[in-house]
Formats: sequence, C-alpha cells, structure tokens
Amino acid sequence: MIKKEMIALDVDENDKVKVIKHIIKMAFNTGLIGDEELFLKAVLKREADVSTSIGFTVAIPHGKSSTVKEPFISYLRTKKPFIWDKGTKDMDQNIFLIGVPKEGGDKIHLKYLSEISKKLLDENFRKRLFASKTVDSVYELLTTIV
Amino acid sequence: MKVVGVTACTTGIAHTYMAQEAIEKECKSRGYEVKIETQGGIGIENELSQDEIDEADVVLLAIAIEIEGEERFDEKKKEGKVLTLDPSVVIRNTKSVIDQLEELV
Repeated sequence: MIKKEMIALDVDENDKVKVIKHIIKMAFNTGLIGDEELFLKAVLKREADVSTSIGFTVAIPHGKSSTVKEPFISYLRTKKPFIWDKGTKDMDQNIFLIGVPKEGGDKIHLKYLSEISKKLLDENFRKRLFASKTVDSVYELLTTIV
Repeated sequence: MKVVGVTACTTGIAHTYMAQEAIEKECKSRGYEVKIETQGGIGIENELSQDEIDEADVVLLAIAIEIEGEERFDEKKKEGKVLTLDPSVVIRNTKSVIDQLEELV
C-alpha cells in the first residue's frame, strides 16, 4: 500500500497537472498502474468534479480505474507551495495521490487508505509529516498507521 | 443535539471517511451525540437504523453520489431537518457546516 518508491520529497514542480503526472509516472514505473493516460483521465475527472485540496497545504487527488493493479497511496512534497486550483486559491505542497482498482480491491487496503486519510485531519500527524526530511522517515510515519 | 448522517464520495476512499471523521470530531467537541454512516469502498459501515434517524434532531448528508437507503430520511426531509452537501465542502468548512445544522433545529 505504501512503498518507498512512491514517496518523493523536494520536487521542483509548481503546477497541479504536472505534479499529478509526475506521481503517475512513479506509479507506472513501480508497476502499480498499467496505463498512465487512462489513470490521469480518472484523476483529473475526479479533480474537476470537486477540488481535492483539503486545506493545511494538503491535496488528495485520487482515481478509481481498471488500470490500477493494486490500491496504493503515494506522497509527494514540492520544494515550495503552489496554487492547487484558481478556484479555491489553496496553496498546496503535500500531495497524496491515491489509486484504487475499479473492482474489488482488498478491503484491508481500502481500510488502510481510509485510515491515512483520516489521519491527515490530525494536526499532530501533519506536523510530524511535514517535519520528516527523508523518504525513510516519511515511510516510517506512514506505515505506523494501521 | 443529536446528529446523524451519511458520507459518500465518488471514489469512496478518502473523502468519505475524512468527512465522517471531521463531522464526528466537531460534533463531539460541541458535546453533541453523533453517528455517521459511511458508504464507501469498504461497503456500508456504521449503518443507521430508522429509529436512530427518527430520534435525531438533524441529518447531514455529506454525499456526492446516490446512496443506498435514502428513503430512510424522507420524514426528516419533510421536516426540513436535512442538510445535503458535498463531502469536500464539509471537510474544508466543518465548523460552519455544523453551525448550519444548529440553525435547522
């Protein structure tokens, strides 16, 4: 559900679509999705419905697609906050991209993803996450949530 | 005040449960009784019975899709005690959403 290859820090991007594409490429390279374009469509469609920026510099774009091989959550932190969308004018820097297969998806995976989502509402958790400076420490933090 | 509700977002993964968490936290901090049913990828959890709905003061439907068993809330809707909003809106503005619920009572 969470893999070190799906954590990226200090990324030099400042555009929502570019950031999403960046993470999708990581997911493709890690074998989590089969078709980047298809998954990108699903994520952007969801994003167009309602922005996934939740405040506190966090956004949780996500997509449900037949091209997702197993549910995953990835974390990318950009060098600087950037405008997520012009509507909300939210400045985000901590992006969690979540991918879910269209059918099935092990319930335990889904439960884990929902637990991480809920944790993001916890100020202490966010503090620790934002203060984590290495992929290993982010990984440690995210895997202690079950 | 007794609050019940349902959360359901389109992908059923993140917002569904975050909305539940946000609503429960805010209600508890105000000393309200709260029970929120979720209809997400995991299936229906914390299902509300008709009794629980009837006994509640207000209903918050933080939903972006059609949900199962929406008829359970027909009576409350007639009484003007149901607030329906998108889950993202509820997560971002939890305090003012609960304020709005208070006005319905």
